[in-house]
Amino acid sequence: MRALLVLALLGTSAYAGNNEVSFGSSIRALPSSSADAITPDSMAGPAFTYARALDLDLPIDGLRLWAQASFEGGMATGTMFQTMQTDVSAVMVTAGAMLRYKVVRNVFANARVAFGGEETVLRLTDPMGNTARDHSFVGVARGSGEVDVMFVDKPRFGIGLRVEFGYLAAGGAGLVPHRTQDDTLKIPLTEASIGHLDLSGPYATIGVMSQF
Amino acid sequence: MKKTLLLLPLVISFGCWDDSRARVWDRDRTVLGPIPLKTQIAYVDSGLDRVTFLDLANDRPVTTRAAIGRNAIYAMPSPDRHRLFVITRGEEAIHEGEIDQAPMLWSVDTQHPEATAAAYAIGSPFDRIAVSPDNTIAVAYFSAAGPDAAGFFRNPNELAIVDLTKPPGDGNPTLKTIRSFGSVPEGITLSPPMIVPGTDGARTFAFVLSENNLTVLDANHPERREISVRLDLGGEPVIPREVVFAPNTASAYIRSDHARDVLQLLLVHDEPLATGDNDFRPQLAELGAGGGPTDIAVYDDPTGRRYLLASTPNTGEIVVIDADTAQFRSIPISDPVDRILLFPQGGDAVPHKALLASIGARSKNLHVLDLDNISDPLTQTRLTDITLDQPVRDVVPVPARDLAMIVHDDARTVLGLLDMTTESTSPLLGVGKLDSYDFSPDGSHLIGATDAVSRVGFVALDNLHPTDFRLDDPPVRVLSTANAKIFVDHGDLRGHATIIPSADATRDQALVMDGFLLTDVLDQEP
Repeated sequence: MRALLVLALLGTSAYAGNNEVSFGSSIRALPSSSADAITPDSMAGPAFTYARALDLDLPIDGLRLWAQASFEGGMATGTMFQTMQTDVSAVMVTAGAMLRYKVVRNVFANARVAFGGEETVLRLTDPMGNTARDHSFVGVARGSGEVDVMFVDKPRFGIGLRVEFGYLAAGGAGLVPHRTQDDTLKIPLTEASIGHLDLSGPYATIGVMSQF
Repeated sequence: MKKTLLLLPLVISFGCWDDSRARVWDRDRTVLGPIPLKTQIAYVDSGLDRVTFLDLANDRPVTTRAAIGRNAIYAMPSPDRHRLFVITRGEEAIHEGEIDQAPMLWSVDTQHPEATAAAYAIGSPFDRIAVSPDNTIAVAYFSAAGPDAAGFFRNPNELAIVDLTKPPGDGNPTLKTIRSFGSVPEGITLSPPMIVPGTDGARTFAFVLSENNLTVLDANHPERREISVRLDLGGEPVIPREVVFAPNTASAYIRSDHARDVLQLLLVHDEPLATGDNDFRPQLAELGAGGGPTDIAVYDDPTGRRYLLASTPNTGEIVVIDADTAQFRSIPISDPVDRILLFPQGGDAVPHKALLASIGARSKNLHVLDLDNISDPLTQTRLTDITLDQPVRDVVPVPARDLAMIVHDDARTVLGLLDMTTESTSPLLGVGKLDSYDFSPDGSHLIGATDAVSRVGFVALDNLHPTDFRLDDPPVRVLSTANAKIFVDHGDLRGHATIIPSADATRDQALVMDGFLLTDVLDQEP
């Protein structure tokens, strides 16, 4: 972080369009005890972001503020007690803001904060093939730092590599797995909650971004 | 630019993030159960180290849990079904997150499962428990196979005698190795409290059954030496199979395979020679069955006199023995009888009839012996023969009724019901193998299930009217609780069961419970 600040002080301003899209792969570590129960792995998936530069005068020369919206997915599998297969997936939509600053030639540093929601889906399959599944929507907040390395950085077009590191805080998703059922009339059912699945954790994204 | 590129390995290494998953989630998990208690059903979870109770006393089942030790390997309810005993293997801390825990016997009060269960350090990973009928003493021991391959040495003749009326501590349990003549325990039976005349009050005795050997141990004074009784006669090994007690006379009757007779073991007072010696000794007698008994049954007549019924196929007889005087009466019978059931069953009812079956010989014949006045040599014996269409593979008494269910094949697809009052039989046909069955506590219904059919079948035993109940999922086991609710387990490791309030309940009165074995498992810290 200190290095990024030093680099920021050395930067100069340049613009390559007011729109930006980025597409990449994201991986999120799941250090919470509840996620630990489900899977030992990190969650991986695609990430897509659209951003629009805001025409604001900021106190630091070369600093630009962008509004962002992103869509991100992730999934992980695991095994509980060596017998029960677990599949967890999440789809996240967030909106927020990004500060972007040119550090050196073709290299930009970004700081980003966003808020949104995440749909968490958990599926459990026992050795007999019985499957139970549930999903839950929770609020999320994320903050990150990014580095853009531009391969092309023209006034109206730019393309480059983006690397992001951040932390995502998610609410615990209360889950009550439901068995897969056919359409026959059923006996009244009481289903027990398996608890709250917390998918908070540090994450990294690497991808391609373009400004136009 | 170079500084930025240095960040790339960090990104790659992110995929290898190691947040050191708690080992609890990678443990082997075995669910023992369902175990029927009074109005509760218990499941013992060896992965989560807890017992889950489903209390069916009210309209809505109540789920409670009790914590136990690591790696449960065996569980059994107390005779009155108010307590649950669990042996946990314990754990050796080898990896991070594991703990050192010794093998324990847990006594869980099922009426107050929220209370901390009593944990007795039994020293060895025993895998069997014997509990006295009055719930005061438990003996943990090894089965012939032993629980697992862990450990270095194992002493198969070691016992842990637990005084359940006292808290765990020094001297409770008592670890003891019984004298062995080359054999290992094949079973332990604890007596009801018995008063040996001349000694100080009622005591519980442990009868350890092993090949060619019977060991008697004063379980109330486990520090005293045990008494060994050799059973072999130099021929085929004599294997004790069954012990029945006559507590009023401080005696036990032992039936053994390849034995010449029923052995009566009478406990009598014996002045101890030194402090710590036993104050009793066994007095042995071979009762007059002769010919190697294959089954025995004990009953008291209306005057309180105790009798023993023994079947002796070698001599082709049923022998009625007066347990006090050893006088006997032989009744010739053509079939090699190896199953004796008394009716009426249970409680303090005096039996009036005995049902005799020849299971091993797959005979089609059943016999009903009238027990009234049978000890009177001047009274003619009344033995009724019943010949069925198919061989008899098993006979099962119906609780609280003068009925016996007859099983005709290994798959339990062809059944019959014998009315002991009228001595008539009625056939019952199932749609498939009767994988699990139970009787309602008042004996009003036979409840059965087969794992290939998503139904529970009922037979009203008053009029043999069959009904069935459609389930949403295939059953694995069916149970009836003491309050006549029907519990159907579907064999799901998350916990999946159907609760039917009564045999005549409709589907909308029933309830399916799902996921109760993993309730809030994500919220608990490992």
